[in-house]
Amino acid sequence: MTSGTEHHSPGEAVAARIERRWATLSIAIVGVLIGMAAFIGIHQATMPQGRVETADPRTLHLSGEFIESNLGSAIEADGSVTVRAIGQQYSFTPQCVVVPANTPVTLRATSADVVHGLLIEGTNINTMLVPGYISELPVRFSAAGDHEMPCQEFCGMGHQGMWGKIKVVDQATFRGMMASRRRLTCVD
Amino acid sequence: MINSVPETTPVPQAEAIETIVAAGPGGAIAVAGVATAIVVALWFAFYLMVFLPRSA
Repeated sequence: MTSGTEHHSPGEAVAARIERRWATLSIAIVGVLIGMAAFIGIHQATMPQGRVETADPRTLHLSGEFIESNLGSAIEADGSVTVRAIGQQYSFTPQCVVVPANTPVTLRATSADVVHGLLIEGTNINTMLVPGYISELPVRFSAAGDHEMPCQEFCGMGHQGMWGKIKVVDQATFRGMMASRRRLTCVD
Repeated sequence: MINSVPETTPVPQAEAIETIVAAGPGGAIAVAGVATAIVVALWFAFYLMVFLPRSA
């Protein structure tokens, strides 16, 4: 684009005008995309984690909320479900998680060793599990069914074998499975 | 020939080029416009028909 408004020929003036208009259109497109992402984010279709929580990976198995007996699904006082899980080379614990459909589920997970990823197929649930930090995601499944949950972050030589599963059941079935247990996984 | 001295452009030809350039790059705008429209349309299609329906 020329810096001044003087043009030596009509052709140059036309080129400068077209270039200005194209630049304006490009900026307008970028503005629309950013505005749309901001609008959807404000309406909670996609929200990043609101706060940072830490968990010491050296003592995960000894104390705190990620000890083995506390992993799996738990019903909260308000009727929602909290799922706690750990990713480690090369598996998730629990390997298979049971959750009810049409219920707010809070997924809380961390890593015991290196950076892992957690992705639930068929949804936009996709986060990293970073050792030292807790990843928390709100989830709501609208229908019963199984979802694969692969590790999506290369974590070592056995990465390709690191698959978990989410089993979504209807609310009555979930309550029945949960009746006599504090924490629930597929093997219970 | 590749290394031959280029002929000096006669004035009438320069005027002809100027006339063409002054008419504006209609073809380039058409190609770039269609390409940009396809990319933006695909973005909206994926966002509205794949990403949002999957949101929790």
